[in-house]
Amino acid sequence: MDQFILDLKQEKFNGSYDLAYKVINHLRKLISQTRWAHAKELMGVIRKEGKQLVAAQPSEYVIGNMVRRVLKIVREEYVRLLGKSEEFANTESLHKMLTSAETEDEKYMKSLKELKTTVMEAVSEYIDEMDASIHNIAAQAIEHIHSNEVILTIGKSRTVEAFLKQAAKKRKFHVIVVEGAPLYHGHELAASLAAHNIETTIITDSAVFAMMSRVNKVIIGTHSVLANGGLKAVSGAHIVAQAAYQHAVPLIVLGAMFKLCLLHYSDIGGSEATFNRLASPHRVLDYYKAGSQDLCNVQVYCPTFDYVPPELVTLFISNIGGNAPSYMYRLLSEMYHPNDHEL
Amino acid sequence: MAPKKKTKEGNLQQENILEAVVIADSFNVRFYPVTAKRPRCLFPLANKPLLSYTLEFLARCGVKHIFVYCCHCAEQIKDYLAQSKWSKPSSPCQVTTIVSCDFTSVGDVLRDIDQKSLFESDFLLVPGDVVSNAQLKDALNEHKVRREKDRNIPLMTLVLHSSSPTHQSRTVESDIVIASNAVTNRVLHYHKIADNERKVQFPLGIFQSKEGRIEIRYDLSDTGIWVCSPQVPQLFTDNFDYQTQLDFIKGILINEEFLGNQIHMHVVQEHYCSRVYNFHTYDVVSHDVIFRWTYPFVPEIHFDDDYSMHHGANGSLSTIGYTSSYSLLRHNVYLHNTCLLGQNSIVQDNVVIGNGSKIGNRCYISNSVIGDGCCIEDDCIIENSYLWSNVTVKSKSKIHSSFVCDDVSIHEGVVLSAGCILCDKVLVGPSIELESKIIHKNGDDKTMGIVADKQSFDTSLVGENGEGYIWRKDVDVEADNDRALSKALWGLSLHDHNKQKLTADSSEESNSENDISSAGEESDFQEESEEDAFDDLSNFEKEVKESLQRGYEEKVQCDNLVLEVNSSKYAYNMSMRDVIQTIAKSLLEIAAAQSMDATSYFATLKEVLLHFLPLLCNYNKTASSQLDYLYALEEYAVSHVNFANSLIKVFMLLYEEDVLSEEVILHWNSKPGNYKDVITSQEIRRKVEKFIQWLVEAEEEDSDE
Repeated sequence: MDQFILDLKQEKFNGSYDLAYKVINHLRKLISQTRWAHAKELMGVIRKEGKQLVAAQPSEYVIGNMVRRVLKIVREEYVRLLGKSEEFANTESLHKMLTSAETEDEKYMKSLKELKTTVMEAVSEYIDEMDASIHNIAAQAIEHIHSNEVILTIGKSRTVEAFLKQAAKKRKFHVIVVEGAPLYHGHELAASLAAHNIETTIITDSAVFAMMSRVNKVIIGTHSVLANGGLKAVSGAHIVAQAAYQHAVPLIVLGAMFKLCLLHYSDIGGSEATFNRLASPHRVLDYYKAGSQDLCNVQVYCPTFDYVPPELVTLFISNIGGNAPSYMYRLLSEMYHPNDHEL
Repeated sequence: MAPKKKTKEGNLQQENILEAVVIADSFNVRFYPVTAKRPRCLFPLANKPLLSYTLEFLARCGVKHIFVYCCHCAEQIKDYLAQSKWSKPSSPCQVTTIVSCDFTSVGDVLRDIDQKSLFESDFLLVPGDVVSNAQLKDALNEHKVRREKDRNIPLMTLVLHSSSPTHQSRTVESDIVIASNAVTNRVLHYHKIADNERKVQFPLGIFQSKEGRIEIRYDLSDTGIWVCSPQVPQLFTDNFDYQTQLDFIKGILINEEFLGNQIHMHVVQEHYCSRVYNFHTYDVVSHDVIFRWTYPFVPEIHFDDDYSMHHGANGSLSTIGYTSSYSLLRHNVYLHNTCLLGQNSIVQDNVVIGNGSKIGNRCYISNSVIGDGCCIEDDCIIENSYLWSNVTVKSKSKIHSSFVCDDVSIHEGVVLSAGCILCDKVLVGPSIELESKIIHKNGDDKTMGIVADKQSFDTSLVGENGEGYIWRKDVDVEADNDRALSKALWGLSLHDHNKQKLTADSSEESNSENDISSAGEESDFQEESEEDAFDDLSNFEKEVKESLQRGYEEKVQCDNLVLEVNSSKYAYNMSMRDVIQTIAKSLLEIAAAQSMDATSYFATLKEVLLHFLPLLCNYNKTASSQLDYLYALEEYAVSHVNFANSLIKVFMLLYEEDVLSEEVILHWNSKPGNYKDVITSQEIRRKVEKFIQWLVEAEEEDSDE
């Protein structure tokens, strides 16, 4: 179990899909391997573990999302086994609070034999859903990419890659890839697309504004989607979004539902440390050179992420369909239980 | 259940478990007197103990078992480890501490490893002051591949870090030049440049090898990290004179041809890897941590448990303890969530302020680290300085480029500048200016050779309320080069030093290039061995003289003395000629010491010579050794008139006792040496003329018959 926390700290995961997958598998193991008498105890166990996982990588919101999602599944299954509707578990109406026979303490305290199996099933189902999410997003490509369009993207996102490749099966279009210094993941994406016979152009980050007038759509991936519909995306995404906004080019964001998180920018904006990841400057400036006399007082920043405010985002495409950023709050309330917002 | 799974994993990884040795002692006194009561590896670096960076780095590299060897202040290190996360069940790797006060060098540690035979497979050897975010996977794999090709030859891989010659992190102490094979990364020559060395010479042999290109690199600094094969500790045991890593590397490279061991190197390119081994590097590495080169080991990422530098202050740890307690603001300012900043205080840039520290009003802080529980009053200026825990700074003080340890109190209006070092619990001020002073307050003054009444602090130096002594370097018992280094402690003096060095370097480089192109005939090995030989000779002479003196006084059997002299001869690797000359000289000196009077001189000398007759016969069996002996006598005679006068009698005696043969004496006579002191060789010959004449006549008589 501790090995997993260590792996998280050492960033032994490959992108947010991989991370989400690992976290939920870890939680599934936890559910099956720990002893618990009733749903409340189980939720306590998951919460405790979840806190540690979140703390191991505070800037990876997906971890918290997965924990909350599993908690929600436990709640739903418990209520379903009691024979009540799923709606009942979610809504906390005044009427319900007054009429409910059981107090807050007694809630989820009944020990149900089938709970373990049903929860396990539900979690497995959810994992299947996650597995299919890239495919589900890519399946919508045809509706958004038309023939002879010029698409601009930045960096490398597996979802965007799958999306473009899916569209290329039916349509012919041109992709402009922004290289995304200093990581230059754009190069990898461009190579992959070109190998797939998609007409691809690579440009520097500074050329984004100049190229934007020719672009029909901007399609980007994201690290996570905040509760207000804003994005935490690869650094450079903000300038792309601004340029698209200036040229009135629609900005489409691809991301599976599990990237949607409860945090608002204002919650985390106070500390750059938890929102952003200021990596070692060695990608920007070689330490070899940086230590010499004239450069030793130069401050070098290497932020990994950009915040893209929701007003710059046109459409958010997830595995369950397209939504406007302003609708995010609604999706959130469906995904997570209000009592789980604070772990 | 969880534990079950763990054991399964354990079984799987058993074969390939990676282990490391951390040497949590430097075996030198660079940080003295700060290190008087505190080990270097527990120095706070950006408010976290240095050792935690090293352990975290190893855990990140996938090391499963770490042995921490401690010596100086071992208890403190043990206490720290016992209460840190490393001894908790959740620890990512097992940490074992091995304590012994007997270790005096890295060599001792490795000999202990060999004795306990800790390792059967490759292991890492890491000094306890490494700060790095490198992944040693590549180095380990390279080493493994090389070892698979040949079990015995590749001995170890040095992990080096590339840094430009003008780099901040380079100091006089880590100035190295390495010649290596560009293809196989094999180290062919490793040279540490001494302080004032202007030429570097390479053995010619390395350029004559036929395989691959040879690279000579001056852009590398040693990280002290070794990937060792299990044979390494064994070699330390075999060669008990190896003290430091440098001894070992040199020894291996010199003996490479007939022992067949090879050293390879791995250069860390993208990652950060540095050591803290003096004040200057402490400054540089702290700076690098604040500038995030060591990411993810930066203050706001919580990699170490909330270990307070004052033991047990808040030892309890909740699950929330995992969350970071520092927040990062613009311009690399890291503030602990509990620290308090006064009104109008400016925290400019590159600052870390620790747990519970209070900063007064209108302060200005830049490029500094302020530890836990510090209290800084109004209107202070702190720049380029390091304040450890619980430091009190009263109002209107100025601290520039200084190093202030735990529990120091600085009174009003004190100005510290240009590399002041205030050790634990020192009080200074009020209103005093200190520049480049080291002030300590150690209860035990014997080690410093200062016998002082504890109450009599020199108030003119440390201020009216001051408590502490000025640390004087000249009472230091360190070796000369150490003293030179402590001069270049840190701050401006070192930059200047570097600059000087830099200009020297540029000329040096061109010089060394010339040397290389002309393929310098004499290697520096030779030069060194000559120097060594000189030392050895004087030591040898001393030893032989002592044993002969003792032999004479106690009337020891000459056979035993021969054995003793022979063993000294092998210990110092002396030639026969040296031995004979030394014996001749020693005997004469012994006799001279017995009688100062010129008249009784020969009598004592005769007695001495007769006593040692069997020894002399033993060493003067051949003609050439007899000749050597004669020249040795001559050499002694030119500077000692007393002996020169009685030389003829000595010759007679030795001739009669069959120590010297007549041919040799005649041969010696025909070829005068070039000695010149009080009298010349010619005069010597005149003095023994009669004896020679007598010899010649005797010979003629023989032939006549």
